[in-house]
Amino acid sequence: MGKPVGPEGEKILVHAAAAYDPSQGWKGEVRDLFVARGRLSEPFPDPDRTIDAEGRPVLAGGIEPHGLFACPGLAFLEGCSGSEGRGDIGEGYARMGYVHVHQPLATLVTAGLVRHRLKGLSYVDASYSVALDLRDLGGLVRAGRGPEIGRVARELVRVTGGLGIFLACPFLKHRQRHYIQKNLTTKKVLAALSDLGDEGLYPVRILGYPGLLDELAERPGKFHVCGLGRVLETHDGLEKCAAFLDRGGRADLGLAVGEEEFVISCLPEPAAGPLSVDMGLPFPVSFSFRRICPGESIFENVLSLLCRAEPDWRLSLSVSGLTGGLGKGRPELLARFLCELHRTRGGDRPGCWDAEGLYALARLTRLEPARSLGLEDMGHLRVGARACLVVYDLRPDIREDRLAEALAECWCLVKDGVVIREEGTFTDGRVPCRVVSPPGRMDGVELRGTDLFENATLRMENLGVAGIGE
Amino acid sequence: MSVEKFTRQFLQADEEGRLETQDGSLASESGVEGLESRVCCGCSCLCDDISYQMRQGQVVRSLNLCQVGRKRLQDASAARQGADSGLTEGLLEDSLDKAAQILRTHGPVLFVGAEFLDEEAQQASVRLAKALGGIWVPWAFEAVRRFHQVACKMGWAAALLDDVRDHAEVVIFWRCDPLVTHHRHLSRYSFFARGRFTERGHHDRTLAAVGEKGCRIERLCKQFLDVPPDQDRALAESLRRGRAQEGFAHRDFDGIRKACEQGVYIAIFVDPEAVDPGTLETIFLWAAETNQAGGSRRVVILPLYRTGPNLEGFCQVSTAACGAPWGADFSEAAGRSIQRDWQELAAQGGCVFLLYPAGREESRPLPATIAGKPSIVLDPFSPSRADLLDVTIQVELGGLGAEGVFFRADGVPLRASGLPGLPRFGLKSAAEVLESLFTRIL
Repeated sequence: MGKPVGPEGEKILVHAAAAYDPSQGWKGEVRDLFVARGRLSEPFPDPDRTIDAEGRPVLAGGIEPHGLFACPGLAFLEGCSGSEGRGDIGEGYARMGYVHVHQPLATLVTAGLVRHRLKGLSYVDASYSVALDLRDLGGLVRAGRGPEIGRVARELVRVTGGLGIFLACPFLKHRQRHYIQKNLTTKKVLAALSDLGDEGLYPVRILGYPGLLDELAERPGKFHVCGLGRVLETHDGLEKCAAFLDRGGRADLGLAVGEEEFVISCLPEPAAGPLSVDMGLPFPVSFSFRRICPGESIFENVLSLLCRAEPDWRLSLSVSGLTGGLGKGRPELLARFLCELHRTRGGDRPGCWDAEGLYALARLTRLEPARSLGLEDMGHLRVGARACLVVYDLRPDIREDRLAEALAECWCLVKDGVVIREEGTFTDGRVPCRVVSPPGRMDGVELRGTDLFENATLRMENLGVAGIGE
Repeated sequence: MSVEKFTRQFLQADEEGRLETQDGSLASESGVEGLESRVCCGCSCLCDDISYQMRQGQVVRSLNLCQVGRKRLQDASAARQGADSGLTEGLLEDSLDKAAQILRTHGPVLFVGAEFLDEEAQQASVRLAKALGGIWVPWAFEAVRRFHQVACKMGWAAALLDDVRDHAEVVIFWRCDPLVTHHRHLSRYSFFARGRFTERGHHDRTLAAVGEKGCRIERLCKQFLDVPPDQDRALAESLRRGRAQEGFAHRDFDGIRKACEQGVYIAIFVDPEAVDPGTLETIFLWAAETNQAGGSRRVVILPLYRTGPNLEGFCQVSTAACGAPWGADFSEAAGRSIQRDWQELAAQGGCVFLLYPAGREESRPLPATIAGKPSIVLDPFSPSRADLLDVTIQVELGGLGAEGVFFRADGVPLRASGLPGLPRFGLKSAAEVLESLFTRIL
């Protein structure tokens, strides 16, 4: 039975694991990993518990940068799907070896809802980015006063407890004709946001859409494209993505393959999906689904992009779905990627994956998401990092059809020094799940009376639920 | 009145010794405590600008409470004082034992009224219903089901109340009257409120309503369509097509048509219970066609249910627990959603567990088919009703004596923190009582 996290915790030895950690160049060398006080530690004698990995691969705990399950209206979509209840999303992530989920989309008004929902997840930590409302910042953008926008954004992040800022749409177009002079072009917005004077606010997350990469060509490093997959419809899109990443752009895929993909859009376009919600942004957020199947150009382009990924690309592999892509989609995509990479590199091993593939996977699903979210002590296996690690039952000779199964059900999961899964089943180990927020006060006193808060129907102290202002 | 002015007046009145408590008696003792920015859980507006002045554990004055909130506060305060003399630990334990006995022996249990409870209590009630194989529904389950099914079929354009306040140039109340059910809806969100693009409040908006002649909102409306219910669909179709359909005529139709044509943002509040599915579908179709037309116009539809303050929370808890927002019948198969009507449902129940008293505020009288069956009620108001029902368990009222999370009509959660300093008199929250029952039964 796992001990609860405490000052001492449990001293754990993960013995003989093939470790994959791109931050240290580990490509499957068999090592012993030591866990003490909830963190990876230097070797010590007499562990309380030894987990014998028997050569199985160990990676840092997975991080999902594009989870979307705490928006207004999602309960309605779940009800429409006719399922028997969504079950425990946190458990679903833990089963696949994930320990942290980030939701890119929250607004000033919905931050309380998002936080409240994320706090209810079991096993995994969570975080969210908060959206800037360009309607409140129009004057500053037009005047190019980036540092002032930075100060407002910093305070907004503090008030809402967000981990960073998000831009649902990088331009502004008012519905009413008489506000036409207040419209903002993408160029002006991106120029103003490139000079926030606060490096901690970067990267600014922007929801991906065709055409965005052209706009970002001049300043790729300041922005993170959420949902790059939507640009991958065509071969031209693939080349643009590769060029964007080559120039230092940051992105996550935000795409599920083989299951109902969950598409959100915040652009001023006709809402055709089952739900569109005005949630405090200039345009309604519309939710829709589509199914991407193997053989489709977008599917091939996704695989092609992943296989071409260079070590210096700031690309994360993320999956969007109503329940976080917890069905077959995610493991199948990962499995196809491993197989494809093995074949591309002329693999001759009897199995369908190799060390290079798992090394690349560790970078795409662990290291890069952690770096883009600023989670410095996660996503890698260095001494001092949070002890979040996962062991998959991936034998060297595993058949291709079993690969997705092995990735869907991790063999062992340790989170913050507590063993959550062992030998493929959940233990009774429990670990407190946090909604990660930046340190500092969250009462927003400095923003009282500014445009940002004049337009909320709730009082400042009620904008968050159970967490804001703690 | 601002909070500052309210406080100033209060202190002045206090000094002059002319302060009155909620029950009308004079109070001039010291020990005044001011509480600002509290949440009222009287309806799904969840007004968060309520201020109270308290003295010795009693609310002596309040600011911004509407008629519904005030009545609720007064009734609950009176009941709490009644509990002071009547409620003992032993009595509560006896009631819980008796309730557990009924729940065990008279299945399936019909759980009704969880939309009046906070989220934690709702979760406790659905857990209990699942464990007992009971039926767990809100009073307005038929309305929720109707709205949800039509929205799923037609696609739904929704909005937060913030966006309605900021954008709505035309507001239509379709067979719902906020002046009866949601008193401050107009002033906080939909009509008088000044928004980002409606800076002059009601001067920037057209208010229209569809309803019975003589309803309260009529006098505020620029256009009021007092059409008989069987003409609702013709009206919706006429609005959708932009011209009066054959056989439909009303003197205000042209006015509302023009307002809708000129308005960039139209918000329709509808009570799904009072509107037939065909009309509801036509309204949704109108919204979908407008929103997909590609212009800048937008039509959003928001349900305005005539029921408890936390129906949205109920829908979310219900969807997570069983996949449908209108509750579930756990007696047949796990999570099977209900497709029957009230009378059939009530007839199926072996006993009824009222999570909020029947016939109060926007809860309904019990269907005739449940009459005579054993009943249990969680009642924050009337301990004297014990003789009318088999078991009455007095509980703290959420947002007054007990803290809890409630969801506003648009799904935004708020923590109603309760009033500190109120003596508890041994009262438990609804969640605590439900958990106690859960422990007893299992």
